Amino acid sequence: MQRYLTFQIYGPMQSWGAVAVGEVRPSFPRPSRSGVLGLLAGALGIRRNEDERHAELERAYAMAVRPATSGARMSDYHTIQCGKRLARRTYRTRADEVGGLIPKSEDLGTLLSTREYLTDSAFAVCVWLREGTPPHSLEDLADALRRPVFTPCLGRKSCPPALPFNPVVEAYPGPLEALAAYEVDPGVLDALGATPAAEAYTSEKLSGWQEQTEVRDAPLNRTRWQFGLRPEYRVAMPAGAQDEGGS
Amino acid sequence: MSRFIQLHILTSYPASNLNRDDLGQPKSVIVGNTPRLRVSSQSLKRAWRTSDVFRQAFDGSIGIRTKSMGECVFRALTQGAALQAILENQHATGELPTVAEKKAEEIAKAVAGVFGALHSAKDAKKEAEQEAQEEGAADAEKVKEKAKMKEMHIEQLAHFGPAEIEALARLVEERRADGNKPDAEQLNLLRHTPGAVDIAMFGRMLAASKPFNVEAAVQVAHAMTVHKVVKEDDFFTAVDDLNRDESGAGHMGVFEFGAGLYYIYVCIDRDLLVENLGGDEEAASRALEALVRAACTVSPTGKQNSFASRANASFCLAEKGNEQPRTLSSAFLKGIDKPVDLLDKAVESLLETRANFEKVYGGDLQHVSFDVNKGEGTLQEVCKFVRG
Repeated sequence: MQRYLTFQIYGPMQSWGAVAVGEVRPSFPRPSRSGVLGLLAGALGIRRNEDERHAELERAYAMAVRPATSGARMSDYHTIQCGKRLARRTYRTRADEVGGLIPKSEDLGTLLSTREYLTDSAFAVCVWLREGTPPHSLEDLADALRRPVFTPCLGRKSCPPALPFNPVVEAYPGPLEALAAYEVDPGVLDALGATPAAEAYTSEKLSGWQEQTEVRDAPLNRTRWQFGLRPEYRVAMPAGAQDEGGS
Repeated sequence: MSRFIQLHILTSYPASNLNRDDLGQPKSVIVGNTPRLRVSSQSLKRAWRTSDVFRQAFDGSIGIRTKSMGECVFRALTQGAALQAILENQHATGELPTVAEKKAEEIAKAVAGVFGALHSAKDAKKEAEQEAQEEGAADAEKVKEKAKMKEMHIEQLAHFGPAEIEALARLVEERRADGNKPDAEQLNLLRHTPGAVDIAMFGRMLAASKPFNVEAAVQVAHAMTVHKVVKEDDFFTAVDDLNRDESGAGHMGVFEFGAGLYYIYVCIDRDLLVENLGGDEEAASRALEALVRAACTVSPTGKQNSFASRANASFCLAEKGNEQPRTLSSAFLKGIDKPVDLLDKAVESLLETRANFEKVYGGDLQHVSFDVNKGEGTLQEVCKFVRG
């Protein structure tokens, strides 16, 4: 049997950036692949500009997510005061942008954006090794989640986790069995009146998959903020797993 | 040394509209199936960053606030004196080599332009004429000289930290040697100083100039009420004082507001803060204290003139350690529905959640707190704990 790392993700607000063009910055309905790999990278102490190390993570690990409750969506109206972008002007600090370098004759502009958040969502995440030598063992990843190097956040910096990730590494017949065995904090689920979903979403073509879609969250280059398309499969949780959730 | 410092703050705001959405209503969120009022992370950070608490904490290390640094650079180059000597007395002269006026002017303008928008030639002339008139010496030659200096000034006061002044002085000596205008890279170096504490804390993301991006060392969650709040409408009328004939209002309007006890969560990555401050541990400690003070005493500025809803924290718990930081917001997931003793109940729930986390998931963070209702602990103690 293969070993699987499972952990929980819960925070009152989360935001897993989906394709965003212009003013609206939507969120995926669940933790994205780039989001989870970024969370692990931050926990390991990998910086944004370490492209090769990020690429290693992308190659090395497979991932599945089971919504414990998918919650709701909230839009946040967000304004940013900002001066004109001119080639001859270099803003070096935020203070430059909102005053210092703006001549009196010029008005400050406002950038508007609508940022989408998930509220009341909780997830169980499963990570396992693809072929080849992984840069970090699953145990190392679990340790990093317990004692992260950089501050973890759930997609956006302003979204801290509200539960310990509580990582577990154990052997199971497959990732779905690992997810079925993982219990997301019952106190939180109870307060949310939630029942874990009867399905999971995964980057791998697991047997019995029911639906295939394409999502753009395979990290290509974090400095340039580029992400590639990858297939995503919806699979039903194994029989028996649904019962404990009560669905 | 502990990497993460977490703050859990409870602040009670009376009727207020601290942070508005596109309709002018207080921002809100539904969490735990309960509608609540919300203040965005961005709004909190701006209020803290621009507060007097922050300014006072860092004014000690502050160098000079001036519009005329450009003129000083010009004088240093043309009068043969070091920049430091000119800053003390602008008419100082020295034995150092001098640079031709034309070239010195170019250098001075390039340098000053890094710190602020330069005076336009028109404004410079106008100001020079005005000043000369006030001094009673409208001699054309003098006005021209004054205007030339003013063109090297920036429009608004800029702050020059000690490290920035040092970098400027070095640049002046380099340019004195060859008389060339500094290139973009040299100008950038002037601002690459580790003085900007707010940027070290809250980060900076400038899509246009990536090299200046800084990863924030402080994480601030959106604040939300620990209980259910439904926004209320205030229908208001204004009387026209001079209208004596017709009854009725001169103006009618509606705005929305709400009151509540907010939970504010902050997590600081101390190691990253020190790194962002160029390794300056002392500055990091001061920054931490300023942040705690601001988070506990500074309110967002939205609609303060209509509501005067300024409030201090009623409770603050600070934690230190290396284990995974987490907010204790789930303490309020069900929404506290006790109108009486709301604060005590909220504190109780917060501490209970903390204890349960420790029991179930393990961990042993050091912690201190103050509680205004019980009269226990002080802000000073929390600051000391966070600094140390």
